[in-house]
This record gives sequence, C-alpha cells and structure tokens, in this order.
Amino acid sequence: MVVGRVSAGLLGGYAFTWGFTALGIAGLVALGVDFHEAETGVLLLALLVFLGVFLWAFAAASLARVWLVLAGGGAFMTAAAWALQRAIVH
Amino acid sequence: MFSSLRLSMSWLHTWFGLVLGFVLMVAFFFGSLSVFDREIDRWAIPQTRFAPQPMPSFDRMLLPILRQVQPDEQDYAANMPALHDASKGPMTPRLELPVDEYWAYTTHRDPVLIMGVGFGVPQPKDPAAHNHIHGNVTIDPRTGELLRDDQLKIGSGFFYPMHYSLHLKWRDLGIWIVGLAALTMLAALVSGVILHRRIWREFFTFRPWKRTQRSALDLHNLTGVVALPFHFFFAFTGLAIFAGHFYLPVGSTLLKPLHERHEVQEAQRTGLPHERAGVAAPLASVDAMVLEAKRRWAARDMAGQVGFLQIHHVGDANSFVSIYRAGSDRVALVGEGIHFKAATGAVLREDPPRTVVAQINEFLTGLHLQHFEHWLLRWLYVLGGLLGAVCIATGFIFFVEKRKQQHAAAGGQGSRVVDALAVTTVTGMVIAAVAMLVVNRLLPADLAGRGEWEKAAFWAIWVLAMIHAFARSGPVARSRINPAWREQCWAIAGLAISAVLLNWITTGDHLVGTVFTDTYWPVAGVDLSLLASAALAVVAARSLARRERCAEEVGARVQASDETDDGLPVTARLTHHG
Repeated sequence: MVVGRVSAGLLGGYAFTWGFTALGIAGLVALGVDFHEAETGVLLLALLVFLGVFLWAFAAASLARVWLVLAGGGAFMTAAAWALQRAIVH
Repeated sequence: MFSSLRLSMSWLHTWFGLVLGFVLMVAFFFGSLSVFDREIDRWAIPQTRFAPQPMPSFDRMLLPILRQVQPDEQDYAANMPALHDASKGPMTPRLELPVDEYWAYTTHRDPVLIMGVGFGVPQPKDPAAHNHIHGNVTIDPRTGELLRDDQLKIGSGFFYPMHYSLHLKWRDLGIWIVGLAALTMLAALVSGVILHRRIWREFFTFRPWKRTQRSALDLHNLTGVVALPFHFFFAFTGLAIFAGHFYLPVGSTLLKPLHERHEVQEAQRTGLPHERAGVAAPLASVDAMVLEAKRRWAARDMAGQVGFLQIHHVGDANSFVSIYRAGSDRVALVGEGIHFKAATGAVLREDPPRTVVAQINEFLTGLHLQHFEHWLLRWLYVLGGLLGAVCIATGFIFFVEKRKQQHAAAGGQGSRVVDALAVTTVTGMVIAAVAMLVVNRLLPADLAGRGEWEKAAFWAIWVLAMIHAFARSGPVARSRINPAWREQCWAIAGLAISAVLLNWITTGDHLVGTVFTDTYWPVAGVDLSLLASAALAVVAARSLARRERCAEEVGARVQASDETDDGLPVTARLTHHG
C-alpha cells in the first residue's frame, strides 16, 4: 500500500505536472504569449502543482481515484498539448 | 491506508524526511558553504589571493589566450560520440574541431577570470541542438598568466556542485536526487505545519534541560518555523533554476517544434542570427564594443562593469558579440545585454526592459544564486542554511530518540543504523569538508593532479567517518548515546584548528595579518569560520560527554536496582526515567 502511495505521488504526480506544463505552455503560446515567457511562468506554477498533487496522493482516501486523476489527467493534457502544437506549427 | 490527514502527513514527514534528509543535509551544508565559494577558492589556491579585477582588454589579453585553448579531453570523450552523427563519417579529431563560441565571465568577488571556447561539432546528429565541446581556462587578469587546471577551486569547483549534484554525473542522477530532496523539503514543510498546529507557541518553545527527545523536537520545530520562509524559498527556487533544463524539459522534447519556431521568429525579430552564414568574416575591436556598451549603460544611469561577454558564431559573417552587465547592484543575474555585429562593431540590438514574468523569475533565481553585493545578506544566507541543517539533524535525533528504547527492548537495529547514518551526514560531512582543506595545505604545491588527490581525500575521509560511526554505534542498541558523536566533534575541532595553523605555516597568512595589518577578508573569513566551528565542536563534545555520563549513571542505577528488585528488564525501567 505504501509503495502504491509513493509511486502515485512521485510518478503520477510527475506525469500530471508534465501534462500541465506542456498544455500550459502550448495554450499560452496559442494565445499569443512569447514562448520563453510562457515557459518561465508555467514552470514556476508547475512546481507548486507538483507539490500539491504529491501531498494529495497521500492525503486522498481512494488511491484508485488518485491514479485516475494523475495518470489520466497527465496523459490527456500531454495529448492536448501535442495536438495544440500541431495546430500552431502547421 | 491512512485513517486521517494527520496520519498521512505524519507518515510522509517521517519517512520521506528520513530517507531524503540525508541528501537535504548535504544540500543545506554545502549550499551554506557555497555562499562563500569564491572566498574558499582563495584560501585553497594561495597565489590567487589578490583583489577582484574588472574584465581585462579582450583584444590584447583575452583573444590571444582564447585562440590557444583546446577542446577538453574529458568533455570530448564523454560527449562527442553522443553529438556526432556516425552515419556521416568518422568523428572529427579533437584538435580539429572548429571554434564556434568565445565567452568570459567574472563577478565582483573574482580576482581570477574564467573563460572558454565552445567548439562546434561538424556533423551533428541534431543540427538544431546546442552542439558544443568545451574548453575552459582560468587566468590571472593582471598578467594573462594561465592558472594550472589541476588546481581545484574547492569552493566553486567542488563544494558548490556538491550542493546541487552530489557529484553524481551519470545521467544527471545527482541533480535528480537533489531535486527529489527539494520536493521532499517542500512537502515536509507543508506536512510539518499540518502536524504542528500550535505553531505560534512552538516558535517560543525550547527546553534544552528536558530529555533529548523533547529538546530535539523543540529545536526541530524552532529551526523549522523560524526559517520557514527561507527553507521554502530556497527549496522552491532551487527547483525553479533547474526545472526547464532538467526536471521538466518540455521545451526541448515534446514542445520542441514550437520552441524552434519561436527561435527562428526571435532571430528575425531581434536581428541576432540563430545560425552561421557559412561565410568567413573578421572580428572587429571588441574593446571598442565594450566601451560603447558602458557608454549606453551610463546613459541609463547604471553601474557599468562587464560581467559576461560572449561571441557567437566566431569567424563567421553572422557572428555577433553579446556584452552583459555584471549583476552586483541588483538581485537578478547578468543583464542589460547589448549586441554588436562582430565584423563591424555596429550595434545590432539593445535588450529591451524585461517583462514582468522574466523579472519575477530572475528575482527568484537571482535571490537564490546571489551574485549581488550585500555582505550582511550573504551571512544571513549562511545562517539560514545552517538553521536548515540543524532542523534536519534534530529531525534525525528525534527519530532515533523516539524509537531507540523500543528497539533496544525488542532487539531491533533500526535506530542504531539511522543514528550511525546521522553521525556520518552531520559530523562526518563536516570532518570530510574541513579535512579536505587540511589536505589542500599538506599536499606539495607542485604535485601533478593536486585536485584529484584532494577529491579522493574528501571521499576517503568521509567513508572513514562512516565506518567509525557504525563501529561505535553499539551503545544505541542498548538505548545509550553513540560515542562517535562526541569523538567526531573532537575531530572537527582538531582539524579546523590544524587548517588555520597550516594556512599560516604554508602561506604566511595569519589572522593578525589578514584582519589587521594586511587586510584580506576572504582568507580571514575562512580562518575565522574554521575557528568558530572548532569552538562550537568543543562545546558540543563537552555537552555530549556530560549527557553520556548521565545516561551511564542512570543505566547503572537501574541495573543495580534490577539485581535486588523485581527483575524487570532494564529498558522497561528506562522508559519511566525522564
């Protein structure tokens, strides 16, 4: 059980943060914000997001829900960022 | 798994804090030393004990030296195979790599100047990447003389990288471990606040006369709370500094196409070429460009020393020179860049005022990296870092004190192992660092590969301290104090005093001179800090001796009464003693 929580907090948390960062940057660039500007701002926020979801992974009642939100949300946001980038670059 | 928020936070705080606490200890201690890394460099390399110098003439001094620099053998061996596209033919030999970039960097605390050359990789796997093999040198800017590169800058070249990378270079493993530790620090601070709801009262609570477990917890809470903003800020900004490049490299992986599109647009907008033109061109006078940059800074009413100078695409028609102002009068790092066309010296661009997001980021990272000139704040950083180290160390002690009686009763070895590891990372680490300075003064000045010997000594002595901590850890299994704490405190005191004396004997620089008659604060500061550490270590050793004697007496009394009394196990009795 402890292993489940730790891996959800670290791996799931990382996946979620990765997706958040990618979608945040791509989204802001789509809105016309400078790339490095978006990158800098989103990365600062992303660290706080990681801290939040990491703590939540331990505090939440249902581990299944934690995995669903973190891995699912991470995958969804990563895919959305990729699609958005395709739309911008092409 | 956890029945309440408090329990889950308690588990997180205890176990992540314990496992990564050992890493945090390294990050906080060597981070504190890094605040004065340049000063430690001066102590360790006596021929560089002179005043900080401004950037010397590029045309007359730096350029002739840069033209002699060769690509670093280790860098070539490690990175060339990864950067070179083997399908296009064999690797370009090391000494035939073309020059692509020159740079020179100095701060208000640097007597010596570091500079280097970025050599291009002719057939790169990824033409868009930053394909460079480096060659760096350090010079005495008064004469242009090269410093031997086997002389280790112990402060900026060893303690500082230790702070953020543990010197584990393989796949940047050390940087990732320290990053995980920083995340743990943030999580430990939040969970600690949730655990200790009476935070205001704990602020004023320290009861050193109580038993070790209670006073260790008091001190843990006190140092954690009093410097809470400091700890949070440094863990957070430490992560922020490395986030884009190491931890979340979204811009160079998933969003690379978007990033490259930006780079091309940026080059068009700013007129600073992103690529080489492939046409050779000469280099105009860089000194004239420096003069023009200083004139423009002065016109904007800013202090005008050059901090960083960089020439891109050297020898090409697209080559340009970027000159940045030294960041001694503000928090953000180098800045206010002015860019010149290398072939003509014409101004291509003056960096516009920074945007709000960039300002926030530079303020945060600048406050962590502290290139500004403010000696009081510098010392407050050391104090904050050491408070963090105390907070972590008392966390270890509380962990051990809380469990060692149960472990002793049950025959467990857990607290004994944790205690020995705590000795290794608290006193053992200080021993290794101070011993490195002693070794630095003992090695012959002309010994080849001096720096490597110093590094080897550091690791070997740390391992010895660890062996000593484990070898002496027996008493912890009987719920007593590990005498290694006391013995290693004496070792710190002896080594620190030896370092100061050896500095005097080998260089002639004694404290009366460096403080009063021929004042040189970098060396005096290191010497005085060593003496202060020695004094603190003696106080700690004597106090530990008192506590050990107390524990012996209590143990002996319990044993004596056991023999005449009801035969309860010693440890069951000890639990009732306060």
